[in-house]
Amino acid sequence: MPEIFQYGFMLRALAAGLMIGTIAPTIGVFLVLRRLSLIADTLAHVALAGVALALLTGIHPAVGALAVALIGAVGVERLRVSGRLYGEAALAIFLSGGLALAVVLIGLGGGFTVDVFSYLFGSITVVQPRDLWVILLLGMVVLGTVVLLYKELFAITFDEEAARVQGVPVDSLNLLVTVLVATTVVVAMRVVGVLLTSALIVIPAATALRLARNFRSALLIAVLAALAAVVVGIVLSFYLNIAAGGAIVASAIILFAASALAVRRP
Amino acid sequence: MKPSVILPMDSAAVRSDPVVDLEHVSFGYDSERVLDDVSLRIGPGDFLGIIGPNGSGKTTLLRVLLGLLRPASGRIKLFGLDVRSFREWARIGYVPQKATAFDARFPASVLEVVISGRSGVAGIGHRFGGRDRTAAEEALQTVGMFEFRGRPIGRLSAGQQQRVFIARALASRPQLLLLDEPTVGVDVDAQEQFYSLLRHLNREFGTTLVLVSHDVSVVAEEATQLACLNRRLVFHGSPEDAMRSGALAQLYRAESFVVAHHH
Repeated sequence: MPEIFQYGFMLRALAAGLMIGTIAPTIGVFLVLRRLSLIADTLAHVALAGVALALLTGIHPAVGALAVALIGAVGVERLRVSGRLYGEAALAIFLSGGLALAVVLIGLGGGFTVDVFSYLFGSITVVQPRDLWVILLLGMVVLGTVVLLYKELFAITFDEEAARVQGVPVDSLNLLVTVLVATTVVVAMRVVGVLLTSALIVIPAATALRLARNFRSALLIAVLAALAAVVVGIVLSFYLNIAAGGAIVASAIILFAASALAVRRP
Repeated sequence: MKPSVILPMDSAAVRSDPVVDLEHVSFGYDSERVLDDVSLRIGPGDFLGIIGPNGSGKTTLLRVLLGLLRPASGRIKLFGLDVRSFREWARIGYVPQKATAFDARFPASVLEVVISGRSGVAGIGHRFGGRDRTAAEEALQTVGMFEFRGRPIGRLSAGQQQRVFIARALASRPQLLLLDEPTVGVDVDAQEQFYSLLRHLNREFGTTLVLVSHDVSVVAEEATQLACLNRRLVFHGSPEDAMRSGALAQLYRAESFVVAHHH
């Protein structure tokens, strides 16, 4: 058995990585197609404020991150739908607002500690058994929702107005998607860190959109690309002793570049 | 374009009700009325062409009728039910104005797009089943695009895409089909096919059609009823009466107005 599988912490890292490698690109395909890629990055920064709040008050960081990210998700969606701001401006306000709040809270808590850094850049190798259960549970919620509402999500992604006329509850689904993004971000945060979370959501989706000829295969390719990046990244981080989050995202980008070459050939 | 589908006919009970009933509908602020006191009844089996100059409120009228926009005043009934409580969306097919303006890179096959027209029929939380697939394939056969079902939607010509979007609207087997400027960007041959498809749906299946267009001459030739809109409803009646009354010329303030007739 390879050395990597002999350590419990590496097995937990792989399990967490495979779960996030499944849900992040699934959500990512919908986001990229609706030109909402930035929403993942925004909610990741909002979630960081939740982590800082949790560290300050002593609650579990994942709980704090999820609570604040969900509030942020509802806020972002309301501001976006109100039409009073350009969509991206609403996102930019929440992104910098979340980061500002996080910095203030971190300062109140005595400055940047090891804990804060582990959320900024990810610390997949210190995933505790209890963390793993949280990750698997949240992951199943996201995945289950997408499977259950697959046809509605396709309809609003392809043509929101036509979906509305078919009686699809577009506004509720838009809010739900944003909530799913918030949940995904909180799960991904543990693995690749706040700063690289949106990479795992967006890059495999972008790779898939270059290659896929239909929607089902777009989702499938995105998940496969992300899983490959996660496994390669974690294995490299173990043997080369480099940061797992960075290695995973670098692998995803290499796959994206390779897909460009694949498309260029006839 | 060989028809092979039997679309549901209006039942006798439904036949007595107007399919669409607008009463004194206005939209927009008092100073800037986009629609002003429009009353319009569309009966089962009508083929209504809505014409008017740019900015006359044609698209707004469709969107208000479908409940996408809330009117400032007035009442809207679909199949005898108030639009605010209307839930039987499967009875209505809609081809939006900018349907073909989607991103050509969107990864969707023709069949995926068409079956999405049954999202409202299948019900939330239910997966598409064999009936949905059959209905989508029949709709594709009706518009003559069955052979293209596996193709990426972005790789089709504008005319072919337009037929796919009509198939999506037909997939729920609607009794009322609304089309907003459907021939924009479609070449002449494809337009000819498109209108023969509409004639077919209207005559063979009794589908009620509402067609918004700026192309007056073609619409006057194809439709059985004309509504001339310029924020207010200037005229509603047969194309022949529209010509006789001078409503068309008045609508466009045109000196000469040639409408070809080959009926």
